[in-house]
Amino acid sequence: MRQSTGWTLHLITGLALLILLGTHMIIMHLDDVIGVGNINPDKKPVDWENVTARGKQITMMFFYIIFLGCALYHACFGSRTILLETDFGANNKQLITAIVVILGFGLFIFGTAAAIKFVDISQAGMMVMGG
Amino acid sequence: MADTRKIPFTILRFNPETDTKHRFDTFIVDVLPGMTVLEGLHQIKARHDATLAWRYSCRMGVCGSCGMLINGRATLACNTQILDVSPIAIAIAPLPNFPIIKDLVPDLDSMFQKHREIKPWIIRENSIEQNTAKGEFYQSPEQLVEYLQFSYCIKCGCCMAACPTMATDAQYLGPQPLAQAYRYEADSRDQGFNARKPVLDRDSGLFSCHYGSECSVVCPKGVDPAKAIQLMKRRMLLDLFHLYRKKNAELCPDQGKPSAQDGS
Ligand code: SF4
Ligand code: SF4
Ligand code: FES
Repeated sequence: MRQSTGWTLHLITGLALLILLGTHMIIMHLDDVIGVGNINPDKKPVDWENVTARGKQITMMFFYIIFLGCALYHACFGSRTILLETDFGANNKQLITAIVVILGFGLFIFGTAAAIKFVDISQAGMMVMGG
Repeated sequence: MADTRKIPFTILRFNPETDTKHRFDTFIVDVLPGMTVLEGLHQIKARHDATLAWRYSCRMGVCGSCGMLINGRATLACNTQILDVSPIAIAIAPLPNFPIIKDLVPDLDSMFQKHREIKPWIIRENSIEQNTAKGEFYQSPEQLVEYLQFSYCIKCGCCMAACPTMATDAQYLGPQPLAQAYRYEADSRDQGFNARKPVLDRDSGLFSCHYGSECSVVCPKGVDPAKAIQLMKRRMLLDLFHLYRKKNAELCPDQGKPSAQDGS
């Protein structure tokens, strides 16, 4: 990948993280402080009912998959940049790149599988709770 | 003389042919107001140690030979007055991020090599037109201003010595070559963007600059390499999104016609 492409994606994911992380913070941590809309009616975002209610929404699943992808790309590209500037990194560019790519994709697949699985768990949980 | 001060100069000494590690020698210099660090070095060579080595030529900030680290700042010895740096003590070392040839003489070869890599000359798409020129290219004062500041570089290497990315990544192109890439890119006569792109867009290239701007802080000619690098990044991003446009200079409309001076 061209350095300019990697760098631009780093910028774009950085900006996206501002929005995605901001949204996550509002939903999970700031709802009872700033009270935007009616996201968690009882203002208890980490209660199991609220967690499963969000978890079974496909939009939330995609939200977290995109969030994960942006965070991982931003973190991996940033770490690679730092590592390549060490003596070891400068002499082992391909090794560093390979480790970062494998780690990034591995975590992305794991996180995505977890987000998809959680939709099932939430739906099952809701059914149990619903009797 | 009443105005004379005695100031110790502590200088890093190293001769790779005979020494295994560097040492510091201290010499007392009689300093008069207005005296430059370069003059202080001359005094040391004349009075104390004729083997002290450094590089200089013009003595007036033009040739770029006398870059060195003076009290922690990469700068030109001929352009730096001793009392402006410190009335108490002066410490001098060769420019960091370069191998040492001897004492205060850095080996700038790597910088010149990288400078060559970015093709620091006007490139035209039509090489026939360039090699058999039949006229001049019109350039407005506004077009000149676009690159003028960046053309003041004297290749002293101070920016390369101050750059933290250079300190950690010896393969990084560095502020001097990158600023010169933009100097030509900003020149309306140049069409060499695609020829320089592969060099700029590689690992340890343009995008390894962290925009700390140390290079611009130390540049003795006001070139502002950090600004040039960010402007070059902008052009690369426009190119990435296929938005890059450049209005190139045209041959003078009256080229080829006899001028008034010809008297014909
Ligand atoms: S940009 Fe400035 S500091 Fe760097 S080599 Fe040119 S003149 Fe020297
Ligand atoms: S702005 Fe870029 S080139 Fe200049 S010192 Fe910082 S990292 Fe080096
Ligand atoms: S001697 Fe020429 S720049 Fe200092």
